[in-house]
Amino acid sequence: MVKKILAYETSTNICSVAFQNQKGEIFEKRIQGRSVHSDNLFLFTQELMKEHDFKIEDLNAVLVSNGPGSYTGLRIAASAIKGILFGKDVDLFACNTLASFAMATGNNSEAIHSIIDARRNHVYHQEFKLNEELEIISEAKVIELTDLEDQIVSGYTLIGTGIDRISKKALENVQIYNDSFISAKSLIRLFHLKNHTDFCIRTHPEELNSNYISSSQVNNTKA
Amino acid sequence: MNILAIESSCDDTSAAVLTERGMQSNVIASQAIHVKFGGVVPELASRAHQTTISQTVQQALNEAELSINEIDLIAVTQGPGLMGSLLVGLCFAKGMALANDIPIIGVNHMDAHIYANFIDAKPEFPFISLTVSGGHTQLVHVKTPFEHEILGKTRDDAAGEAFDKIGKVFGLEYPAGPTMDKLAQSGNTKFHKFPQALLREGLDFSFSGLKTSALYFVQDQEEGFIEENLNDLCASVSEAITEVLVKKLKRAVEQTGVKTIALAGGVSANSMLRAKTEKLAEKMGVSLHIPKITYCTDNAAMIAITGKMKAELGEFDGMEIRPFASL
Repeated sequence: MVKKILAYETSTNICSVAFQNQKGEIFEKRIQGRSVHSDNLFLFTQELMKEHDFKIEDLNAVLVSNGPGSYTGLRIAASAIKGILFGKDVDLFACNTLASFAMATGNNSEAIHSIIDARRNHVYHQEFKLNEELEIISEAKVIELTDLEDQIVSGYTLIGTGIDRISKKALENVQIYNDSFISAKSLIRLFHLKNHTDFCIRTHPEELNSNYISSSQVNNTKA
Repeated sequence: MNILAIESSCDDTSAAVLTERGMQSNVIASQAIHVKFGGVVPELASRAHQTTISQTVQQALNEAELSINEIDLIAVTQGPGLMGSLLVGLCFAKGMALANDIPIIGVNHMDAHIYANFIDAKPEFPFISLTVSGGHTQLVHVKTPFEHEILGKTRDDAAGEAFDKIGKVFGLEYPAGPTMDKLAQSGNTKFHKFPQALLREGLDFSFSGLKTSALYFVQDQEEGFIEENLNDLCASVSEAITEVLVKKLKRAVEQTGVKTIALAGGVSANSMLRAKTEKLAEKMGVSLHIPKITYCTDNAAMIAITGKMKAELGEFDGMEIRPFASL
């Protein structure tokens, strides 16, 4: 039986809420901008509940993009989900944000570099390989833009935010997926992978903690 | 009507339940992590709220012997406060309201301090509220429910902030206000005359000069001076702060002609301020309302009572409400 799933993506300036019905159809509400998450996350959820006639307790799973990414965005989703699932018997999965980005490429690629702008001269970065399954090539961490430029070569895939900060030369012959591809729909696709437990950890709402990757890590990277 | 209230504006996570039988619970989870930093660190505060909010709300419901299905209204602090902290409480509350189809009301934290006086009493309108906390110092003319006129406010530091900052100069741990109050009770208020700013001028306050004055005063002394005279120093500083607060309160009462005054906010737990206000009320022949100590500092009980009063006026909110950091 196909599961009813609600998914939240708030790790960047995009607020996306997606719902999968029992037929496997996926519907999404999405907005991009500053300070759009604290109201739209709820309005989108409310609209999806009305349009597709479901209650929270009808869901089989809730997925949340758990970081790394914007502290405020991650905090809003985590707090909202703690409230939404309070006293509800619905499974919650905290998913690797950068892995869900990789799913958006839909691309059989040897090297998918998922990135999120971490300000200064840094990005949150993780590399994956996508065939039938998604394979982790490197751990999620903060790296300098110059390090990223050294890593991406012709034929590689790059997805995320902060791409405009990378030199044009480094982006030559790189397949680029910009922030318009960031969506909660990718979390659902990630959850459908056979090896989804590598990326989506079942968590009790009370214990949900966003994966911030500390700012000290940003400061400790080489000058 | 059963009301669940949530407060997370600064460094206390609090949840309360108010029913027709009165306040059934008021759980406060204080964050000790800030002590070593000598003040509230906003990022740490919001992370701590996120860790404790579910348990705090569950405990408040347990103490009230109610489940979320029996709640008719959720009241939550909307602002002012630390944005990261407010977001946690507001988003949690909105999530609960959405998932359980419960109406929600956003409450102004400063209003809630004033209406904490209505938890156990019924002050008559109009009245003057002296609202003093770590973040605010205001004289408010409360004409009818939620019809407020701010008559005076601090131009720089809040009174509670002055207590904490001067306490730090004296080597006291954050938050220094309650310790200063305790030490001041056995000290000499006339040990040193600290400045009382803007005493003869309008209804505004200023406490930053007092902080500087205290710093310079102890810097000029011999080693060991603070330790030897700590109680007297605390008493003298408390005298300077409370004297200004009460004199301005008196002026506000004279200007408006109200027959009722109220204290509100964390600093209203200060014993010297309470004693002076009681004396003032007696002398002026006005009635005085001061909340219980537990309802003076940041707490969700005051959010619950304010939410109830707003509900009675039909002032409900929707999922679009956002937090606001400043007034």
